[in-house]
Amino acid sequence: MSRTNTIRGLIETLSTEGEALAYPDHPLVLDGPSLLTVVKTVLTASFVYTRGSRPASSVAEQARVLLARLAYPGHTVFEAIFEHDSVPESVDLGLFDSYRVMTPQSLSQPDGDDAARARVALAVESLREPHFARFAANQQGAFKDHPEGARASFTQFSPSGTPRYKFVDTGPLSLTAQVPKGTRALTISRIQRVAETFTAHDYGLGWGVSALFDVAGAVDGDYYLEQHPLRAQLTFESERIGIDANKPLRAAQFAGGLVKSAW
Amino acid sequence: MSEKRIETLRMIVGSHPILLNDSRRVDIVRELQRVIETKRIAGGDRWLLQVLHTTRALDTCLSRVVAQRGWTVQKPSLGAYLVKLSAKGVIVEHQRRHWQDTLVQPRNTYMHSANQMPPQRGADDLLDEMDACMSIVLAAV
Repeated sequence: MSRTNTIRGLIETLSTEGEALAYPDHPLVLDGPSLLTVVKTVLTASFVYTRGSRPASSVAEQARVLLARLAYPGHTVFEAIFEHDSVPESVDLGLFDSYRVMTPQSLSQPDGDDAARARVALAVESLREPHFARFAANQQGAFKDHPEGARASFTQFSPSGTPRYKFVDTGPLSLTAQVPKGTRALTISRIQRVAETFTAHDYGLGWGVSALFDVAGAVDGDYYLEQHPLRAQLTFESERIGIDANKPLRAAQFAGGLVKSAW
Repeated sequence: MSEKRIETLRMIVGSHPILLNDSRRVDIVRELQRVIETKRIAGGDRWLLQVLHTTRALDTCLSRVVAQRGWTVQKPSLGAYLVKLSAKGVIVEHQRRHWQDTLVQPRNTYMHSANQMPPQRGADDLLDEMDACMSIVLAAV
């Protein structure tokens, strides 16, 4: 079954339980959950994994989920939905609160480890304040330089052998990510990949969820992240097509990028 | 204006613990629904109505967040709510200044001054800033 039909089927199923929205649009998240539902005032963000999806346990995917967890309010439940033939052998929930399995006929009830869920939720909530403090600091960099608001301008990148992005050392504690020229859709995709890389680096993802708890413990009461921003030289021109043209820049800042725009 | 954006915000507002028992929660959700309903209207009037409904939703949302936290403002206004949220650490001062400049002031201009209309880019930016403000505050409280 195509992914589109899978999502459509889930919407039909979940709509019988409450409200359901496919591909929600959050101002801070470029690549967020596949579904957002409200059932009896419980808000759930669902990430759907079908055959061919990036593994839920991959570092990049954990980063994607963590960014969404930080952007959405703390009461949001984060769940993974696996197609019945895509359930990993060992369901490492990582940063999810629960998981469900989907067959052509049914969707299982949420399952998970309550103790693990409580631990993940606590770690994420410990990170929320410093993460938003760094986001605010990153925005200030843009605001100070361009008081009329953060705008993006265009920088030509070498067209030959263009990578999705490349990192350049710009100091002992900072890197610059250069995103090459492309269409808006391609630029957004590339910025999301940079954002996931920043997030994985900042929070030690890839070393197990326990590393996240270690970072949470270290930043509690300490604006470590605010002092250690990763600087992303992100210059791009977004097409004004009637939707939130500043979202890529805002999302990049939210993920730890200090966006420098060349005017 | 993205309908999915408004739907996302509507679901966040409708389920947020700080507003669950608030008497105005339903009003805020209804106001956001009205933003979606403006798609039936053509031309510049649609944008003005989008700003009207979005700002009413934002104003009431911030006022209820402030009230639910037990904070008070002397003279209720969007600017005053932003001042209080900054004072209490929900947002930082430069965000408050940014939204004062990019949101409160243009909103006041277009809501109170006859025949004043921004270019399309300005209109979109105003609505997007309102969305961002609401989502950032609700993520932080």
